[in-house]
Amino acid sequence: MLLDLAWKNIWRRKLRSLLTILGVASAVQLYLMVHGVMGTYTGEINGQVNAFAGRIVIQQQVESGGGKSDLTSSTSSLMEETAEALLATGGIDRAASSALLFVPIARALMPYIPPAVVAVGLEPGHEAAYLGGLKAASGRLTLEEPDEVILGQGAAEYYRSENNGDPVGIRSTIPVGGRTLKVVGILGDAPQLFANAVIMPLPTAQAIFDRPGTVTSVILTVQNTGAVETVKSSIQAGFSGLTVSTQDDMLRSASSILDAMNSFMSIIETSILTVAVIVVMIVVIVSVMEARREIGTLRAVGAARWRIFTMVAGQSIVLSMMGTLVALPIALFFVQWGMSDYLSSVTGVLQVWWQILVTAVGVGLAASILPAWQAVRVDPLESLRYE
Amino acid sequence: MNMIVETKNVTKTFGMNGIAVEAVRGIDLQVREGEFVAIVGPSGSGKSSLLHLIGAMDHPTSGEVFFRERPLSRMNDGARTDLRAREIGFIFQTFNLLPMLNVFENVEVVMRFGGLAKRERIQRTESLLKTVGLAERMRHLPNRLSGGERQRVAVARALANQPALVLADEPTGNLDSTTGTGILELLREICNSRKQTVIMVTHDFRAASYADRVLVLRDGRIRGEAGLKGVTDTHKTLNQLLELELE
Ligand SMILES: Nc1ncnc2c1ncn2[C@@H]1O[C@H](COP(=O)(O)OP(=O)(O)OP(=O)(O)O)[C@@H](O)[C@H]1O
Ligand SMILES: [Mg+2]
Repeated sequence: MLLDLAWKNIWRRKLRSLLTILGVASAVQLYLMVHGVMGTYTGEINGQVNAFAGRIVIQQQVESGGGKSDLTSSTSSLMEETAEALLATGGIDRAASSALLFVPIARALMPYIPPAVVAVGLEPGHEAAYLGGLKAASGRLTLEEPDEVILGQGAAEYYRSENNGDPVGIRSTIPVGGRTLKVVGILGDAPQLFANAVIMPLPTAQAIFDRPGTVTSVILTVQNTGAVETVKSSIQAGFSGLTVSTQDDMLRSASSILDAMNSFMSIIETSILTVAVIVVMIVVIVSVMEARREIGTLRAVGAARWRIFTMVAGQSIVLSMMGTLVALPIALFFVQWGMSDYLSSVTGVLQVWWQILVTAVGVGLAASILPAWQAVRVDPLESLRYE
Repeated sequence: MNMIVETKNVTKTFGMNGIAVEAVRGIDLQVREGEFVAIVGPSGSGKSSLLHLIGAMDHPTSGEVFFRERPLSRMNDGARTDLRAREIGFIFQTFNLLPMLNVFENVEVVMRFGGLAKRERIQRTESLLKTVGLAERMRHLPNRLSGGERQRVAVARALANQPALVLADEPTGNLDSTTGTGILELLREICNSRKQTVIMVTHDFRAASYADRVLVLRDGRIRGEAGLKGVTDTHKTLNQLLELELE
């Protein structure tokens, strides 16, 4: 192997190698961020879907009918009477079922992601319809008085600015639409749909947001998980103009969104990696061009073609690996401090360390094919032709 | 005695800008195992070109070169490479050291091609460099060395894999007479004790006098030949050859 020669070739042109490494680093850094966003996004949507196991969400029929129902859609509008009739369906656990009113307080930065902060009105005593399976970080997850509110952690963070910058916790008060509500509980770790929720009694929400007599959706919990489809059919038979989504429906709709997003993101990722490959390739081609005489000498004194290949491929892989090494801390910095709301945690990026490694080696190998091919074809005679 | 190298009517023509330069014009040469052959001739007479053909680096325009009876033209690239790595040591007229490697590494690297284990490589490199008087300069890069010092590194490298055949293109061209003598004695020594074969190009008759046989090359052809083995007055024989060269 001539890997030490590869290393020496890199070291020989310090400035050029440094610039290449920085070029690769910024491409890889970008790649990791896009990858991180996609990972967060997928995790988020899956988390939401999982939270609805055994539950049925009923909304007003969405116009497009494309099945892309948005759980927190505030445009859906159901009369309270319809909601009551729905809640009387047989086979459901009434205590864990409720009519809900979703109203966005702050918009999301990306489409299909739940609003940055959303008000959720639900029937007191039926909190489990929405919060079933979730745990409190502090306080309680039940609403007893009209002016009480439960906050997800993201929502609590949002109201911090209203609280003189102090952390919002139980017994804090927050202003919502001119009313002052008392925080009685903070949710533990939860998907964003819940983390960003400001949960209050339904009548309070209807009053604050001026939606008397209407709700946006009904969530039913079936008594027997196996009977979800039966309950769904009976609702569809008894009511018209409604969208009835089970966890399976949500899964389907989520994966159609994710598929579209994924193919879009993979075009971006491929382009970014192509830039990295081309940067390394140009540099290694130039370095092979400069070293033709030395490569000829190596061939003349008995270096086999595969050794020349290892030298060139090694140079290319080392450049790409070093670029990746530089990119990692930068990507982690952004993920940790810059975009923590929208990207997975540091561990999320590190969990895919082997993917990063494979990517780095892959970029290096792809970049080395052309220059290595040129290098292995250098004739021993080229060692004699220059002076 | 077996032939290690044989050429049959070998020619080499270089085409440059439409002008053909016939560097080698039909050479028949036979070199026995363990022989020390010197090739002398004026500049441009085709000495280096011939050596490159014998060293499996260049392909003849016509004719054939045999290495231990195997025709080089029949060998694929891998076999030729292996030959250059293990059986042939080449001392380039222009040294051709690798500029990014230090003296030690320049010698050591070819031993990898010869398939030597690391420990043996280190040991052998050190002893070779001691032999050529560069033990103190092992960690220096070639661009810090004088011409003569580089030439000695090139000699050490050519001997690294203890090749059966050493092809030396002006190995003493840049050396003072003491160091030059040292190198010539080294080449003589490996012929005598290790039965390695040396073909040396030179235009220095004093250097040629170390050989068993001297060939005179002119205009790409062998013009004369004289054995020096057992000859008492090598001076006289060489002078006769010199006249051939100048004729
Ligand atoms: N690659 C080449 N292309 C064109 N002409 C060449 C090439 N190599 C050698 N020649 C020509 O072939 C002839 C023989 O060259 P060669 O190098 O073999 O001579 P030489 O005997 O080694 O000379 P010197 O003693 O100066 O080293 C010269 O005229 C040279 O110009
Ligand atoms: Mg020459």
